[in-house]
Amino acid sequence: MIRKLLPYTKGYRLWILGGILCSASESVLELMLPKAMSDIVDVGIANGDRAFILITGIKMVLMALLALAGGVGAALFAAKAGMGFGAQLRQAEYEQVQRFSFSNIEHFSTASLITRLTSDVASMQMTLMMSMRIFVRAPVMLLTALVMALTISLSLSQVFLVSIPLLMMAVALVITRVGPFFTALQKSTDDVNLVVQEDLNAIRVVKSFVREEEEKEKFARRNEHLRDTAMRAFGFVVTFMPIITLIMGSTMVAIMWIGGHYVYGGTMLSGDLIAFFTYAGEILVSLMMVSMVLMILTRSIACGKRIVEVLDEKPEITDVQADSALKVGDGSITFDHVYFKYHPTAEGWNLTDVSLQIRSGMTVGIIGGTGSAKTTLVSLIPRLYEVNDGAVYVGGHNVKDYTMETLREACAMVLQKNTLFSGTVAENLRWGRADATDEELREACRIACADEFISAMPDGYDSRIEQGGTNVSGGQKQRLCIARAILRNPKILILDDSTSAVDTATDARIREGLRHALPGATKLIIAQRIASVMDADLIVVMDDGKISGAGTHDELMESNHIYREVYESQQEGVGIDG
Amino acid sequence: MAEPRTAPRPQRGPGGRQAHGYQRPQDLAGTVRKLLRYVSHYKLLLLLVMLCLLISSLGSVAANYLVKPLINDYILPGDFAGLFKMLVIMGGLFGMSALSSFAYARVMVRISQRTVAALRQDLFDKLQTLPLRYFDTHQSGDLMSRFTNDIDTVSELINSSLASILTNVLTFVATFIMMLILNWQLTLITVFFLMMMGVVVMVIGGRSRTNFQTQQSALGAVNGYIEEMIEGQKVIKVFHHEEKAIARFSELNVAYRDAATRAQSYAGSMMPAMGNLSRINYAVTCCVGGLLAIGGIFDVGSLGAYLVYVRQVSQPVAQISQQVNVILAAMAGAERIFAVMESEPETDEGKTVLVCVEKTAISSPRRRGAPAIGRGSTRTER
Repeated sequence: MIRKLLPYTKGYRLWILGGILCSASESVLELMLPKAMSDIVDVGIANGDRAFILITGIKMVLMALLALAGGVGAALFAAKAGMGFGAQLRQAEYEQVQRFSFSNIEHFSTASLITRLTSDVASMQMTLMMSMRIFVRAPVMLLTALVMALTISLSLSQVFLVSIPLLMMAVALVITRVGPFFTALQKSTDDVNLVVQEDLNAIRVVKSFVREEEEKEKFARRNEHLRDTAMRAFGFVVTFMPIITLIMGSTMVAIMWIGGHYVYGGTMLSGDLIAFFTYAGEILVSLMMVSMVLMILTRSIACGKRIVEVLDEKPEITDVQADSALKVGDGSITFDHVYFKYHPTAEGWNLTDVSLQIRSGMTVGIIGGTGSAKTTLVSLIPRLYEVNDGAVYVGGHNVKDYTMETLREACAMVLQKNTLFSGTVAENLRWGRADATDEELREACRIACADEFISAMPDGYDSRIEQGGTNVSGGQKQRLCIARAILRNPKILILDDSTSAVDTATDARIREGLRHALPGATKLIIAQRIASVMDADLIVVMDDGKISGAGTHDELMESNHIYREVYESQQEGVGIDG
Repeated sequence: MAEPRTAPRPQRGPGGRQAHGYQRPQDLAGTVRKLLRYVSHYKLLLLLVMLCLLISSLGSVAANYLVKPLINDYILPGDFAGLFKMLVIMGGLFGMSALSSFAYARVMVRISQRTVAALRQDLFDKLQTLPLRYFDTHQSGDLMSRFTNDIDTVSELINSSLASILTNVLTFVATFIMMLILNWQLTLITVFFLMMMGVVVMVIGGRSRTNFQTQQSALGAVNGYIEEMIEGQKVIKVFHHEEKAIARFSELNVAYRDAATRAQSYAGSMMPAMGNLSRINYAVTCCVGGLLAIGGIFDVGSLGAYLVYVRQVSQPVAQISQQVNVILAAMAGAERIFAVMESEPETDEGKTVLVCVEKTAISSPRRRGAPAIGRGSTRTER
């Protein structure tokens, strides 16, 4: 994993090196001080040598000043390197996601991709910054302090033979045992968040079914579980510090007892004992720092892995086979024995042996129950997914022969789950075509019946749309999305259930508008209501991933029982709806 | 040209989600009062915590003071029976300090997790009473982040920051008093360096704060953009908008990198600056202490004990100066949580009729009535 992330430090390696050097020299200088202090006590005070004390004192101040420079330098280098690394990683990951096909995106899910791009990257850049400082500092301090302690008194250092293994055992115990505690904690946190998320997403259902009490109880159960898990996990973690205090305290007591004998016996100077005391503290503290870094590191390894997964994901759809000079000639579409499934490991097919011929300029209605693969069928035309077997032809060429840019330039699709972006109405519409004139915008909106509500908005086409289009209604959003697709002036226009939130009268007006707009373009309309597609040139009835029938309204009424049943049931509905 | 602008969102949205670093609560006193109401269930336990805190911090300060009599009265004269007795006391002090710090940590975990769980439950229960209009006007991601980020910061506050601040204040005061007792002249040097540290905190800290604000709004912009683009990724694919989405992202990414580098440079310099000021203090103290010792005003044992305190005295100052930001962030988080809790609940006006109609319609056998709901919601289109 580290090998995979290493390339993104490019351009910042000198900064990293500088930071490490600064940090290391700060730590070494810092630990020279207690030794100098012991010289003051044992040489200066003992001999009453004022000049020696003064000179040593000045040396110490200079060392501390140098350490200050090193410390601040390390911080500056770490900031530069950490943030630079983070930015490059974020950029690479974001660009990778832009290469993803629909199935790549679905493989990760939107929420997970966002986390991997935001907090995971933040954690990585923090880790680099921290480790440049602490990961260098802790081992250097440990080694220097150990060397200093050994030079002061080899025999007194034997105390560490007991206390260091004890400390390591405590650290090892915590690190090995803490993992499961926090995995459990993470799981119950996810459980709680899941309930909240489900509840927020389905708040309408919750309210209309009056399920609030049940939701509260469900939440309470998981919340209590989270509380108990958290108490166990943190309760375990807090035993760590007191154990450390105990080990450190006993070490100090032992040093004083043994060292006291040495000093009295004349084999050790009292200043050395004080310095030794200080180094002992540093050794134990830096050991703890190492263990803390290890804990942080294990957590950030998880984040790093998640980022690498994104970077390693192979974009499923590429332009390798494409001829960049090839243009889409007309809007004819052919499905030739197409087989398709979303998950390569799934047993059944989502589309089974679909063959279909659509001539350029036709209006095609697509009807079928939920899960009958209507959306799947049309998604293959702009090559949002790759067929597993068979082929899809657009304008007489296999879709794989066009670059994605050419193909998607020619096919405009209005997705069932559609999105507007924050910005003005006009900016959103110009996603369709960047250089569209104001007049073209208005024309597209007239066809999509969006012009009325836009002109009623305070700033007309310059009114702001909130992120995700939350400040326009569902029906308005759908009409804006249709206008955006029309603006593209495509050879093929695909509307996937795009008027579901629009009232029947407006729906009829949009269809009427579309009939005259974009002459020559092939139009595919997925609809729930047969009325929406009744007068299409061709109606395709989908059933369980297969084409159950295709023909005009009259032909299907004659030959296709599914179509007939749906038509009859909807006729009743019309009577009630008015 | 065509790509939508992501306006920085200071209050809510993804920007707010990440921008905890230096957020300030608007009504600090009110938020503290509301939070205290949750914690005050545990008055007795809190009292116990205070007691343990006192024992633990004073215990370790006192144990370090023992260095002086150990060297002066027992080691140098060679009184090993006395030394043994003193070392037992010293060990006892460390042990007591460890035990009481274990006790208060365990109790604090209990208090904090119970408080946070209660807070979470109340927040969730409150959400169930809010009218649909509330969910139309608030993004679910934003509400979600009250449950995750905001609750987390509050939990961290109660769990560790509160105890840590108290310990630090106690340790600082006790250490300072001990230093005065050992030698008031040397303490003057420490006071001077503590004042220098105060200046550093004010200067670097002030710069760091303004830079952090820039960093957080840049972070909000880049994360907001990521969120929006990834959520609309399929539309980007359909309209082949990838390159434009990358171009705008690059600008925001670089802007954030530069702002963050500046902010982190200041923030990162703080600790080394404080630490090394404390070391300069140590150096000067050694020198002056040595001179005093030659003059006979001071003895070696006191110098040893004093130097232990010099190394310790600045730690609480540095830690408190860092904790302040955690506290403010937690308070800002708590304020956002209470803001939801204080929203107007659904009132039964004329709408009751509609709710009842749906209720009777749905409480008929078919449970999986999702399509019915779907149609119901389209009907509410304004």
